[in-house]
Amino acid sequence: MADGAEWSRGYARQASADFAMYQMLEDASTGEVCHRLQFLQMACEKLVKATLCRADEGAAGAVQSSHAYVKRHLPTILRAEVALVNLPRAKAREVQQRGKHLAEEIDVLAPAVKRGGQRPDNCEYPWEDGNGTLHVPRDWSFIPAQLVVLPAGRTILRLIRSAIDRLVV
Amino acid sequence: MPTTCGYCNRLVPPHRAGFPCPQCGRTEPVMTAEDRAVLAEERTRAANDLARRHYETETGLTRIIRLNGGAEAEVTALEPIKLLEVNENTFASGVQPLHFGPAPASGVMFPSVIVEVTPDEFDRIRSHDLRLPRGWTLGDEIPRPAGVGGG
Repeated sequence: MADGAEWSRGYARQASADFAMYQMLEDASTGEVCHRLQFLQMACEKLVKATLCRADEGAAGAVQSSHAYVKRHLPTILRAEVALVNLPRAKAREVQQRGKHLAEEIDVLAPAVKRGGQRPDNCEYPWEDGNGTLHVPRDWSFIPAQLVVLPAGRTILRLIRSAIDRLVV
Repeated sequence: MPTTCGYCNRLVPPHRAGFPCPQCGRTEPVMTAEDRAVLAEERTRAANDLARRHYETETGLTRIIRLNGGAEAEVTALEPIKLLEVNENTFASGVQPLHFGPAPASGVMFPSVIVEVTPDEFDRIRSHDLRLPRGWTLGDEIPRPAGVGGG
């Protein structure tokens, strides 16, 4: 039976592959934005699960069925990563603040996370808004796509990459 | 002077110095009581440094408290430094530890575990309504350093 460390490395390795795909699509500006962000969402979710499994043997079973971990834990992971780089304090705080916002928005990219029906927008399936209008992910303007191009957003992406890499080793 | 395995921290006969530990088989150098005191001091310094960096980044942190894994565990190099971080800017989700590996290039020599909770969850931990994993107990508080304001 696999232990927590093995689960952690497994999640981290898959997160690494997901993140590499996200970056490849971004760099080539190819594919729909919803698809690029889906890989970012999957990478972040697996990064969080890898970090949880490494700390707690019992987490491997609990994390398999749930999506809503990114909002709760990605900011803490970013804080730990910020602590490793010498960012000026103001910049570190900006990264933390933006990171929280980005984590909230990445979380709702998963179709299972709807925030009590308030956020049906997601990367995979069409949804109907309160006015009866149908929306399709490939046509939608996603907030994370705007957040990641800000200077702090680019720093956050580097920190996510770094956090994944440290778990893969 | 008692000597212990640098990995599992069990007592090792002095004549076994330099050989694999008879208990766990690891070849980390055996440690004297003096070595253990130095290691404990290094871990305290590292915990304080980590806490300072976290206070600097997250304005919602109201308290950071070290978690103890027991006297034996706390003087091994591989035992993570465990910080309970009380954050008024987060939401309740129970006790969910996050593990981070060491990063020697950044001066972080020990692995660490962060348990982030809300002030309400912290009260529940103190009243034993909410349990910490693996028998961890609340240790010393690391106060916010002067000059590192919140908000």
